Amino acid sequence: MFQMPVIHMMDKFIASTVATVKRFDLKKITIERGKLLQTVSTPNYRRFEPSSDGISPRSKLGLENGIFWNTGDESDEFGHISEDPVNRVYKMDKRAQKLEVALQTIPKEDQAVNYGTSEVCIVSWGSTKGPILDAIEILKKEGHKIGFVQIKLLTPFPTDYIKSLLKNVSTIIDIEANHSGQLGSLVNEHLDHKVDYYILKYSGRAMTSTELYESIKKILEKKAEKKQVLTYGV
Amino acid sequence: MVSNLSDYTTEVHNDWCPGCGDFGIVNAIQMALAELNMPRHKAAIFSGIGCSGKTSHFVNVYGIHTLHGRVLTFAQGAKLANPEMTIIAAGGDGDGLGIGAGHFVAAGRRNVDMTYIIFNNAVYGLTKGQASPTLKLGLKTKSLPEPNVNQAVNPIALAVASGFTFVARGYAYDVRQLKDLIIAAVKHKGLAFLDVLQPCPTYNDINTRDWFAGMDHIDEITKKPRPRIYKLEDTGFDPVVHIDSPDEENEKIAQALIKSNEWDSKIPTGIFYKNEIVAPYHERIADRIPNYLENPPAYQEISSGSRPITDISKILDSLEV
Repeated sequence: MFQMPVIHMMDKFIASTVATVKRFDLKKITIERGKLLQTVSTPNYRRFEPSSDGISPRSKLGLENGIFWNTGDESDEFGHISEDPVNRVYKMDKRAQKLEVALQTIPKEDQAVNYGTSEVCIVSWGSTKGPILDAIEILKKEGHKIGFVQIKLLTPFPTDYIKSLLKNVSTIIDIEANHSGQLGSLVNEHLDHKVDYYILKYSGRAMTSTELYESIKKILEKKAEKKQVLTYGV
Repeated sequence: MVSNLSDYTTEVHNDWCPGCGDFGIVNAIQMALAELNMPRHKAAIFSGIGCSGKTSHFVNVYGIHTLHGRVLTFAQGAKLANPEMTIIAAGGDGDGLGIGAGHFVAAGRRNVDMTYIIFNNAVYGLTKGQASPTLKLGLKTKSLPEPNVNQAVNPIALAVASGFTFVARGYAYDVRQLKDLIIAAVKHKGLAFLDVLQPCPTYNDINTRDWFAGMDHIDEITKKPRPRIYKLEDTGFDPVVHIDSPDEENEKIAQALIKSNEWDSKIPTGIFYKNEIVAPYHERIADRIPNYLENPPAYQEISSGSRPITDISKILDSLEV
């Protein structure tokens, strides 16, 4: 639809998990081919012609009058290799515009899922969702209210939307299954409010709700280091 | 409709060095397409990275300038998706026999019905002339601080051994022969490989036009240069596997390998090996998917309106517990 490659990030836990799920609702599945041409009626087709949303109609191999060129180097409107500086600015702006259009078009629920925000709020992505929700449930029984925003769209980063979700949050806890807190880096890059605490696990084992509960509890009791590393599992 | 050479040229500025052998190869490709009367939208040129990579921009058919060493992957994919297309892959010796060597061998095993042309100048011309995989051991071209420490790969022998079913060599300054070889390669039923000796006037100061012409190789009696390049067809060489027998195939492979080792004083051009008995890849696919050629992936609809037309409900039924 946006004529750009998409990287779908997975993690090991999801990749090696088998689960029984409800039957998929096939009626919900749609295929949007975007601006894919079936015919080209006039010659001089320009693959990358100017377009209000940055996305030009796409031809395909074998289409009469639809001949185009592609290159990994910079290219002109036909797709021919070009090192012209004026064209370079035009093409860079055109590509960058597609990211803006994507951010406006992708539904909010695919950008981030809000499981409720509170003064203390978790941000995370991927397979950590399950143990986080379980840990929140345990803490709730003890009278602690913890928020959770699962961020799904990393690039383009939905800065304004995440900002609006976290606007009343005083403590951000970043929980991730990697060494450096990569989502945390994105939050720190795009938001004024930096991550306050990190809970990370990179032993190659899945997170458990028990160790998450313990580490969040430490934060609430003001006994936690800025970064806690989880190690449960053999 | 009769095609003219000008139908296949583009207005893209060409920044190859004066005297570059690449010009002869592009001319030969354009001439071959014109002679084949090729509808422009039915052909695609895929190119790799290097000076030769710009070839796709100079020919007025679909042109895809791909990644270093990966030209065969894109080109084979296009042919499999749309078997009606005429596909020509073009790249350099560094591109195709260095980083691309794995794809080269894998392509031979498949025998997809397309043409692969290597612009072979024995140097990495785009990046200032480092030794490429086809530069002979011990040669010192002008960019090298020391003579080449590696053995050269033999492209013709590698192609034959990998399973290419049409293996030929052309010379960039013999455009007429090269045009004929490209036409033969395109018409061949299977994967055709064309090794084109392409002097790089900027960085290869050993295998020059004069060297190929034998200017340093004067006949003692006639006092004339003895050209290194000769044509296999002039010697009665028969490259074709005529009958489906291991003996016949072995004999043709063996003579191609022997001829491929000739260098220095005599360098053969022309067709080394041709075997149309081996099934091309599309026939192997069609054996498994009977309507593959009538309904190839490029023409298959995947949606109606915005609804997918593939019905997976039976698969889901089988998984229900």
